[in-house]
Formats: sequence, C-alpha cells, structure tokens
Amino acid sequence: MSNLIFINVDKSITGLAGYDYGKKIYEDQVKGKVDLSKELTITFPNNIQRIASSFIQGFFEDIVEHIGLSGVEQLIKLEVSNEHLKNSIYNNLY
Amino acid sequence: MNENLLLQYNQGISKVKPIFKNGCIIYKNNNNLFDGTTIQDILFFINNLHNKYNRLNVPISFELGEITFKDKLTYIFLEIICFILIKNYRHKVYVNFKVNKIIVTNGISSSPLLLLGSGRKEHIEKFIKKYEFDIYHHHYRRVLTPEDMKNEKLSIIMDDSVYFLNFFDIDSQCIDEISEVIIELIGNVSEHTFSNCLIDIDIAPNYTKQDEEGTFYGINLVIVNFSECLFNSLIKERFSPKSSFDYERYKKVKVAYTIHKDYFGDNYTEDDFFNIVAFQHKISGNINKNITGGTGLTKLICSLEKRSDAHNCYLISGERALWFLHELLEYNQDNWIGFNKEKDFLHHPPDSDVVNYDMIFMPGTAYNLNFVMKRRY
Repeated sequence: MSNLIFINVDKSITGLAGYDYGKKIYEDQVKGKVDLSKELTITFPNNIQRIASSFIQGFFEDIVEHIGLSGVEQLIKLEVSNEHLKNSIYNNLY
Repeated sequence: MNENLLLQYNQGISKVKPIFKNGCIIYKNNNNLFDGTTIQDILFFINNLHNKYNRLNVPISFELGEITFKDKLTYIFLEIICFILIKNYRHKVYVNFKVNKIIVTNGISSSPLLLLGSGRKEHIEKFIKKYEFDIYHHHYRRVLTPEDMKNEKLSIIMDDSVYFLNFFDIDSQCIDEISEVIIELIGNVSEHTFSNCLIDIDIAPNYTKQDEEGTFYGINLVIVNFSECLFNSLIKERFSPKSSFDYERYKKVKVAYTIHKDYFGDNYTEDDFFNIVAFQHKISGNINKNITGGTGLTKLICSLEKRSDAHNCYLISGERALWFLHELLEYNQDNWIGFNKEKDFLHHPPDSDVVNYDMIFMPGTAYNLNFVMKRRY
C-alpha cells in the first residue's frame, strides 16, 4: 500500500471550504487507500492557496480519531502550495 | 428564504397609524435615527395591516424622511421587509428617504432600496434581482440556497469573496482571513439550518482612524438566515441536562453551566450562556465533531479582535443579542473566551454590555460585522 496521496480537486478553484466537502474528499480519495499507522504524505494541488477550518475538520476527522493529534503530528506530512498554508492546517487541528 | 418568519414572530401594535392617501397606505416615520425600534414598528405596522385588511394588497409607501441608519443590518432588514411585501404579498412598495451616511452604512449607496422611490414596475423587478444578487463596484450581495452551499460550492463562494476583496488594496493575508470568516459563517448556516443565507459585503473607502496614520478600508458585512433553528439551538440540545461527555472541554462547559445559572435573570439568560458556549474553542453543536470541530467561530473572534475598530459588531438570534466588544475579544491561555474583563468563561458571566434583548425577535441568526483594513498603498 503506497502511503502517498495526491488530492484531486477542481483545478479552477483556489480555496477549499466546508466540513461536508472535507469529509467527502477524505472518504473518496483517502479512506481505505492508505495505512494510517505509517508515515503518510498528503499532497494538495498547487492551485489551492487557502483551506478553511471547516474543510480541515471534515478531512482530518477520521484520521484524528484513528491516530490522535499526536499521531497527526508524527505521521502526517503535508505538501501544500505554501508554508503559511501548511502551518494554518496544523494550527487548525490543535 | 423563510423571510416570512420575521413577520410571523414579530406581532404587536404599531405606534404609527396608517395614512390612506390616493389608494396607497403610508407609513410616516418621525424619528431621525432608524434602528431596531423602527424595524420592530414597521413589522408591527405590516402585521396590523394584514390582520385588519386581509388579502388587500394595496400599495404601501414608507415615507421615512431624513434618517440615519444605525448600522448596516438595520437597512438590510428594511430591504428584507420590502422584499417580503413585494415577492410574497404582491404589494407595490415605495420607499423614500434622505439618508445621512456614516462609515458603517456607506453601503446604502448600493442598496436595492434606492430602486423603490418611483414605484415603476421595471424598478421593482430590478429590486428583486438586485436583492438576490449584485456584484458591482464596492458591493457584493448574494442569497444562497442550500444547494448553493453543498460540497465544492462553498469553496467557489470563498473564491468569489477573495476575488471581490482583491479589487481593493488589502493585504492578501487579511483577505484570506476575512474570506474564511465569511465562509465559516455561511457554512454554519448550511450545516445547522438548511435554509437560505443572505450575504452582503460593502467596502467603505477612505476610512481614517484617530490613533493611527494612514488610510483604511471599512469592510461592512452582514450575514442573515431565517430559520426556526436559532444560533444556539444545536449546542443547547447537545448540552441538555441528561447529556454526558467523554471530552474534557465539554465536561468543563457542563460545570460552567452550574456556575452561570446562578446569574441567570432578565439581563443574562440561558440563551446568552449557550450563545457564548458556541464561541468556545473546540466546542461544537454537531455531535459528530468532538475532536476536530468547533473552530469556525473562533476564527471570527480572532479576526474581529485584530481588525474591528468599532463597537458595532454583534449577532442577534431569537430575542437576544451578543455584542463583540473589542476589548473583551480575547481567548485565555486555555482557549476559553468569557466576554468579560476577567477573561474567564468557566467561572464568570459576561460583562453586562455584552448581552441584551434585541428589539425584534430574530428567527434564525443575523450578524452585523465591521472590519478595518489598512490600505497597502
């Protein structure tokens, strides 16, 4: 099982928002396709410049339930368009 | 948009007697300040008319004279009332006033109310269109249906607000923050109420501050939804007396309730308590959100703390108002916000200026917010 996930969303949008949408993207593109007990790299496309906390909540809910916030910190590596966005995703989880 | 709930929930006797003239019913306003009291009276006036002259959809003329709208939400409510009368009750509506603009009501220049002076059919049709959608110059307005807020569509609305704000010389990080606040408030509507959501943004240029050099933009924002579900309905249900929790923060809120309830009375109510609970970090009304949820409204507070200049930001829901007073918008080190000088939610009630009765009963939730942004150039 490859532990690299490339999130695929509409190329014309620059932001992601909404709890339900976050949950849907997780369920469609991540759930069951990765091993959450190992290091996992999630890559969001470069067109995504901002992600609202509601999306982060929906997207990471199942992951946090499985491995906890400390597990996210240790095992989840994020590849995003900029460092500010990466920090804001982690900050939104704590 | 369930706007009719506004009429249904605000029944009473109007202080203004209707004047019948040339086949038209006239509401003549005699107050210079147009505020919640005036809105309440207009709602009473309409209900009185409908109760007395059932199905008589004669033209109604609001002769408001020279007025100052107290804030943006006040004139938005007047727009909503006119929309209800035209769209749902088929009244022909005239609105005439001379307005004294202040910075927080600068957006009146773009209001569809300005189309209701003549009573001409094409202007009234344009009013309906502009009420539901308008992006022009300094004004952004949309009425979103539940369908508009589903799945990736919220992301598109967030993009829209970013593109709109990008027209002005505002720092990109500020734009990201404000657009996130907007989308989280809209998202709350779509998640909790499944009703339509009205969003209106206007940009007031050339805002100046007494204590800081430079020029600023005032961003005036109103978000309204009409629903039987009030702002605190879900969170109140979640903290029902029989509820129990595994999560420490939720347990602490239960304990806080036992302390706060000793303060409950006319000036501070259980509804106020649960309105404030909704703003606590990592506390959500959604039973599925225990670990990651409850951060959306935190964004609003943090953004207002940094960027709000005036004592003019509040939300109303039901019969209560919660004021976002700048000096009280700070989370303590454990991420609790008390809306009090003690910065202590767990043991102290909010300051007395933070909560009060609103003049109207708001079925749903309405926010009146102002952000001040320094111009980049």
